[in-house]
Amino acid sequence: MRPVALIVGFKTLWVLAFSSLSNTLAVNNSGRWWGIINVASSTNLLTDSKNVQLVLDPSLQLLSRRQRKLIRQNPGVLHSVSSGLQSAIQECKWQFRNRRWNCPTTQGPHIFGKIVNRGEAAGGSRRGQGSERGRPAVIVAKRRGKLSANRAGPVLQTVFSEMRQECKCHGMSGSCTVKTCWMRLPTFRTVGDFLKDRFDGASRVIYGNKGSNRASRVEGPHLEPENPAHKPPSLHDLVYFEKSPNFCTYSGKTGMAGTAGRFCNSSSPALDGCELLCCGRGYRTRTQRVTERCNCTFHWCCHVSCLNCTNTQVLHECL
Amino acid sequence: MEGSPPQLHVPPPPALPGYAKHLSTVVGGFYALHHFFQLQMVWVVLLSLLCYLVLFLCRHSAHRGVFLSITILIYLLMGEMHMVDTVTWHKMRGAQMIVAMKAVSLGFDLDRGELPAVPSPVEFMGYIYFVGTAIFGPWSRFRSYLQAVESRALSLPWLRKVSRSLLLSIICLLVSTCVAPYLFSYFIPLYGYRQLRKRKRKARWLRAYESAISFHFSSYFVGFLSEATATLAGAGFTEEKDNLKWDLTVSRPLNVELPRSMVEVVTSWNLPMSSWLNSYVFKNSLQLGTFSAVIVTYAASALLHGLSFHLAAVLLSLGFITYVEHVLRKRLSVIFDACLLSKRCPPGCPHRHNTNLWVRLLNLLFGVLAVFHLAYLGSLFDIDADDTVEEQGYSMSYTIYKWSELSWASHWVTFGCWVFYRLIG
Repeated sequence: MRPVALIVGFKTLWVLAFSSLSNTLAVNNSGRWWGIINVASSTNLLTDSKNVQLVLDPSLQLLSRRQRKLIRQNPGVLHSVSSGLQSAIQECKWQFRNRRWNCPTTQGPHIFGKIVNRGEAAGGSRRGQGSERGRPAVIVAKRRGKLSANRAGPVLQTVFSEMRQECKCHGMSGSCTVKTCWMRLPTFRTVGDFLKDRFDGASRVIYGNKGSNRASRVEGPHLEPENPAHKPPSLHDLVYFEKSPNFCTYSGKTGMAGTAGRFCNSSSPALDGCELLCCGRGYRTRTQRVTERCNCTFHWCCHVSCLNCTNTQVLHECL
Repeated sequence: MEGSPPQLHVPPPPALPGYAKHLSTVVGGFYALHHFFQLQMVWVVLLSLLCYLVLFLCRHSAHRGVFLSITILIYLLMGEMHMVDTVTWHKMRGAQMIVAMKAVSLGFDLDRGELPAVPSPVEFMGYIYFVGTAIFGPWSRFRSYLQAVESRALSLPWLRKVSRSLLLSIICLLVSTCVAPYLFSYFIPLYGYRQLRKRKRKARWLRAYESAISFHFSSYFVGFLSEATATLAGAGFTEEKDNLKWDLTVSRPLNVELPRSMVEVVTSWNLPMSSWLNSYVFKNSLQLGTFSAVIVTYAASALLHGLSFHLAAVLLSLGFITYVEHVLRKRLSVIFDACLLSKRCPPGCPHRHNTNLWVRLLNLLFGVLAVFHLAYLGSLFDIDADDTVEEQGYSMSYTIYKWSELSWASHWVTFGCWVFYRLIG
């Protein structure tokens, strides 16, 4: 796991570096820079080290000037950023696979569709992922005043707090006289699970009018939970201002495809159950015969023989 | 100096009295021990005091080596029986091993008359805690300690030797920690990192080889570091007439990684240690017969390394493997009248076939077999194992699990070689 974690971790950091940049510099098109994933994966313009082409490429206009400068200075970075983005999108799809909003992506510059850019007036969505619960925004990212150490919010905090020390012993014949130790970054999945956990616990907030004017000018707007019974959000919580659409049906305004045609779990009472996922519209059940290779055996040398197994799968599909 | 007239000839400083030198090495050794082990160093001190006590009590006996060996044996056994907590004991093992080896060699050297008299307590402690060898070794004779204390002029070759050893040790550390664990996933990308960790047969062997390489280089790191510290402290030279050579060699990585035979591997692993085992254990137990002497030697080595099951298993397996290899190659070299022995033939060797292609191919085959054995044995020192496992030593079930994962291949091959040897004999 070690190097994978390390590399994934570096990617995460790059993503974080870029996303924090996008927060501070390109608030008005936050989420658009994700579109470079298509640029980097569709063309091989990065394979030559001449970065002139890079700068001239119109698709890179998605980035802010400072981001472009970063890429110009470190030509290999775009590759890492792109594969980091791919891991991030994969992780997003996996984390949200059972929800109505299952992290759909599109080709083109707006990779998450229009949903990401909605509600920018409220301050810009940090994660850029809307959902049934609302679009969480990191409270610290909103504080336009003091954004010192905590700017990156829960993601970096998770990355650092989940780091584990690993050691190796050195000594006469394996005794532990000296140890070399290093920090190992958490896996992408660990960070993803952590953030999803925060996401599930996200609460809606409103701008409060407590406190003096002076304090609010220094600290930024004061956020209060919408429900007074809830605790005020801490620096590590995800919060949202605006309720999300329900994502049930096709909507041109948000660019959502709706849940028609999604497969659901007929026995689950949770979000992936047919009742909730199909928004009460009901589902159609069909059986499907799947032929797979099974009971494979290896014969020396070098031939693999398998049997064909036919299974019947029952699929439920939202109407 | 100010105000005095310029002098053409500076008289040499008065020589330090002998005890002051010994005392200063003791102080240096204590400082190093304390730096590495803090208060846990009492276990090493206790062992050394016990050794001197026994040496003093038996000063008129002719079996001081045997008495010292038994004392150390009892002490180590008591330590292994959880008298001390496991992590501490495991940490101290290396330093204790050095003390034990020094004391035993001193005892036998006295018995053999190679040393005139029982050393004074200061000399003895100076030898045991010699700052250059107290932590990482290597073992050195009492005589070479005395020579080192007499001190030689520091010269350019000395500096060259120290920097070479230090550089090599750092490189080995780097290979052990950063290269070997990812050898077949990143450096020679045969498999993905995750694929290698799935329990496929071929991947298992590659993993075993990675673990073995990582373990080997960790050991070379300590070896080169000990070369550097010993040389820095002024030990580790040979003198031929007026020619002073700083030529302390602890391990020969090339002979281990590209071996001719397993016999070569075990000697090149740690040269001072193997010379110690050879002169104080193997030669003393030769009267029991060659095979028994080999097994006794490996048992002694296992005991010195701490009586953990996995090290004992590795060392005893090594004993069988090297013995079978040795006798088989000896027999083959007689049958074919060719240079097939475990050890490289000297230039003017009596065999008829020396450089023929088939002789080279056969030797290469034995070399490949040795690499296979090394991967198998090294698989135990798994890089992904838990840290606590590594700090406390590996358990018996872990050893058995690891080897059955590789279907005990090396043991079967050794058994096959032995059967073959009996058949052609």
